[in-house]
Amino acid sequence: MIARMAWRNLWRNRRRTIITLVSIAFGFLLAITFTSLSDGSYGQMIDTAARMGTGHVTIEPQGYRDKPGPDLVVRDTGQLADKVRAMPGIENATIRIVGQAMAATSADSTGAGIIALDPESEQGVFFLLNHVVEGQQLASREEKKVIIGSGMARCLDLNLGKKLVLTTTDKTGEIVSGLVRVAGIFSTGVDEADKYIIIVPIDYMRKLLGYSKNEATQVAVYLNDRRDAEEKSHTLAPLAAAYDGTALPWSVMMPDVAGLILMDSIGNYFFQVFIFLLVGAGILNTVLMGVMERLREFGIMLAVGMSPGKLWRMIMTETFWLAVVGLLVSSVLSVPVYWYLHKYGIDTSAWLGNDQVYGGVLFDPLMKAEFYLDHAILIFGGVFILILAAGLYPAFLAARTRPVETIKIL
Amino acid sequence: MKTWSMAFRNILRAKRRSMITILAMAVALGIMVVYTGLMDGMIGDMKKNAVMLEMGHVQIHAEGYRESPSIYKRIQAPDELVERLAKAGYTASYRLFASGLAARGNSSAGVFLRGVAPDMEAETMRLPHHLLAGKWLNKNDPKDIVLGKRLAKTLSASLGDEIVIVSQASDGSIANDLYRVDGILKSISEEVDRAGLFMTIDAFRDLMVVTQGAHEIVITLPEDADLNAAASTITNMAQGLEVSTWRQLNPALAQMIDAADAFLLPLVIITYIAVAIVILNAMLMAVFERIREYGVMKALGVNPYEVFFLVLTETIIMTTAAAVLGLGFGVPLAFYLETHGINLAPFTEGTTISGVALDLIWHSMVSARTILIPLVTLYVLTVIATIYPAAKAAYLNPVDAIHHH
Repeated sequence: MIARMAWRNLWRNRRRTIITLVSIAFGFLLAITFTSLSDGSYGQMIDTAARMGTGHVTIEPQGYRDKPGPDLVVRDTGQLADKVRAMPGIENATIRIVGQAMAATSADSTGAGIIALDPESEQGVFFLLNHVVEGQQLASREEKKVIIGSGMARCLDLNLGKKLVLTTTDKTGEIVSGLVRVAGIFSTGVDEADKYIIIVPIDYMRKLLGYSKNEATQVAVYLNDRRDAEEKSHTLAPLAAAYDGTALPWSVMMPDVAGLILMDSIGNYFFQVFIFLLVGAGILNTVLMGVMERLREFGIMLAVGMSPGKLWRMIMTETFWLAVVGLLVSSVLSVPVYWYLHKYGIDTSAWLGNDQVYGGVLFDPLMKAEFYLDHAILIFGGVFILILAAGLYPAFLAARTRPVETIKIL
Repeated sequence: MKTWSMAFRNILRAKRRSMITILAMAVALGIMVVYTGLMDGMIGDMKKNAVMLEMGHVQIHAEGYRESPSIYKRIQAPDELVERLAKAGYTASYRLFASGLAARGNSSAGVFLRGVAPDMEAETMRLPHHLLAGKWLNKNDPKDIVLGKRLAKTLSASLGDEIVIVSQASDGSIANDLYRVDGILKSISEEVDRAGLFMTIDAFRDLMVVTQGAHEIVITLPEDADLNAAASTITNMAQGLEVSTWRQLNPALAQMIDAADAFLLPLVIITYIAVAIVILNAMLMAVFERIREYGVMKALGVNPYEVFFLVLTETIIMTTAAAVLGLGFGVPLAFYLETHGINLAPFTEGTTISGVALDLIWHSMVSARTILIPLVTLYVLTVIATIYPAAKAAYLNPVDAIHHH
């Protein structure tokens, strides 16, 4: 019976209830929009970072983090990569040699970051290979050809087919050089990549550095779900150790991006909590008014024998119905909003431009929404608890009513 | 009609509701003030870092150098130009650049060699004072070098270590020498962190066989100088050379700084929409509670405008009370954060946005707009929110109103 009375009471003042529902929907939609857009943006940045660099999880030699150098290798990487690929949740694993070198032409020289890979298995996986704008992809693992960035091509005055010399230190610390030709040029718009990275065939690099056939600097692991990175790095750790390696998630490999995402998330979190509090204030006002204007009614109910506890429960049930209807309406409204944001997104390039780089990763100005169940549940739960909490004080006031005093009210 | 005292009394008649409403507005305002201060602070710091640490306000290069940098494209007689600039009131420093390979033990890294005159650079830029460990260059110690933060890590180099530098000198010969790490920088910019290696001008000239000229002259202006005016004056002084402002050198950063308000306003508006809904609700309830009163007032001859204004005045009084409270806690907090800032160290060791290092302590910046923007927007939105309830009260039919309930 309380449930029915509560439901009826909710609609006694239609206008007020509707305005309250509007404010609940506003808070809910805001939370969903912010959260899903942020999740989409972060996810996109993480994927870009992973594909531009070292995967969602990276297997690298033990001790490499503290003292990177060509003398540290992961052995038998071919076998290791096969075993990794066979594990659940893994989309792909590719083998890479990374290091530093000097790239020189007769005109000039510049520092470069070398990424040596197997062209065949990295097609469509490695970000930079998707951005080759001139020339061709690498054809084999041992040819003496490289792909450079458009920035470097400009700095060193290089075109397709021209030669450059790569100088670096090999496994034993000796300085070695190799002569290569430019097969292709990539362009991403990110200076850190375009001016700096050179893509080299992996077996050629092995010869240059004095590595044996299956040694490499890292195995880049790509996951089906990027959110598993932390967990997967633990699962892969024992396997990696068997080959002289450790498994690290992207957040350790790219702390800049991880740091920025963390700060942004926290900011977002604070903001949403703050908005929820404001919405809660509005709900408190409404429920409070609803109680204050019925004090006489409550006085009579208590006088004819209703217990204060039941009265308290009735008000809380009203609040409960408010929450249920509020969440229902909000959920329905949020579907088209989410669909639009997911399909079309918000294009911020008008005021941010296309070249924003955060923590070394290019930020895509087109922000698209992504839905994560656990975040949605958090928002749902948060709104629900907020509304119920707003009902606590008014319910308390109602239950505390003194019949004699309130019946005197006209 | 004594609008103000009536409005006051009406507010006091529903103490709890008025208090909740005022409190909500005060909290919103206070937080918006703090937030505006923090945003202005971040953008201001980024701009200051970008300009004062390393890039300068204006840079001069030889013609064609920016398009396609080369060790051979140099500015002739840089000393003389720097002196002329100094006489015109501009602090300037010149630099030499080259690329090479640095090695220590088994590690090596591609580096961007930067030859600077230690004293000139320290006077012009903040970079020489931004050291994590060790000290800045000294022209009497040409074998000492200073490394970027990440470069030091890549080479596993600490103070006192010896580094080999290998490069191709300007006369085509192999440049090869041994240096000692004298200092390691804090986070400056993506490029300096990763590959920056600073040496004295003499050491550079020696290593790379570049006896004359410089690749870049960097100029810093006093805080409020007009960038474009300075740029044209400098262009006149540097005939035949290319003069660029920091905005032209890092357009992404310039765009972000200009768009800073675009970050700020949506959040302020969203917050205030939430507040507006609270006000709308509260005033609507207030009007309906007293609908009979308004009916009687109108029947007695009070005209609609006066009724409208009465309701509006209630809102304005509450907003003002909220303003006092909100500013009362928001402004001191914003000032506190100006001097003490928020410590970001637990989140990041040093990251970059648009290539510029983010300070590890986030300071806010308080100015007139830190208070004005949130305050004015609050008033505007609460007044707009009150229009509907006020209009309702103003235009109701006295007969129906008196019969209400």
